[in-house]
Amino acid sequence: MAIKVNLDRVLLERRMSLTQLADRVGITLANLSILKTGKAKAVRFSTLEALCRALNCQPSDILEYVPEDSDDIRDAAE
Amino acid sequence: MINPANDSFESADIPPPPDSRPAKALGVILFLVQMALVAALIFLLGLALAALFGPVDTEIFETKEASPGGYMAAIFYAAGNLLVMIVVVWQLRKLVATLRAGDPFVPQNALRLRYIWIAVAIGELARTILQPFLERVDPGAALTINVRAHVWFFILVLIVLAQVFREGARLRAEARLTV
Repeated sequence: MAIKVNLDRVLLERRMSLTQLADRVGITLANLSILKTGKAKAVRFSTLEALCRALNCQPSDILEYVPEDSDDIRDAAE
Repeated sequence: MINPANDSFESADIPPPPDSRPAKALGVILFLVQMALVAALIFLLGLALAALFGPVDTEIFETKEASPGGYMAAIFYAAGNLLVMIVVVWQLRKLVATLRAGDPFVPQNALRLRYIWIAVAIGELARTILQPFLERVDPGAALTINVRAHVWFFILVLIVLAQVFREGARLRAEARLTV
C-alpha cells in the first residue's frame, strides 16, 4: 500500500511500548498491531486523534505517503 | 469528540453472538428436511432398480404416460427435482452454520447463494422442458410449455441477494481491518 505507517518509529522515539499505547488510547493491542504492521485498510479520525494525543505528534508523523513504485524509481536512478 | 474506546467497532474483538434460537431451529429444520429428501431419493432409486428387475406399478406416479418408459422417465424427473432440493438445502445448512457461528458475511456465503440460484434455475429450466413430455396424454398432441414467472422472479431475488452478500463480505473484510 502507498500509505506507510511509521508507528514503530514514533513509539521508539517516545520510548513507549505498543501495550502502553494501547492502554492510553483504549484500542486493543490486536488492532494496534494491525495498524503497526501496515495491514490496516482504514484508520478512523477518532483513532488518529487519540494516537496523536497519546504520542504528542502530528498525523504526518504516523502516516506517510510513499508511491508504490518509488523503489523502482530509486533503483533506476542509481 | 468521539472516544475511540467507546467508538470501538473492533470486529476482531467482538465476541460472536450466542447461538440464537431461530438460527438453531433453522439448522434443525434444514437437517430434517435434508434427511427426508435423501430418504425420498433413495426410495426413488429403489423404485428404479425394482423396475429393472420386475413388473412396475405405473399408478404410483401421476404421469399419464403409463408405459414402463414413461414410468422410468417420471422417476428420473422426480429424482432430479429432489437432487436440486438437496443441493439447495445443503447450501442453506452451510449458510445457517455460519449464521450460528455469528459471522454470515463471508465470501463463501455469496458463493452458496450463487449455487442455490443456479440449482433452482437449472431445475426450473429442466422442468419447463421435460414436464410437457411427461404430462402429454396423446403422443400426437401439441406440447404446451408452462413458464412459471414467480419462480424466475424468485431466482432474480436470489441473484440480487447473492450480490448483496458478496458486497457485504467485502465490507466485512474491510471493517475487520479498520482501526
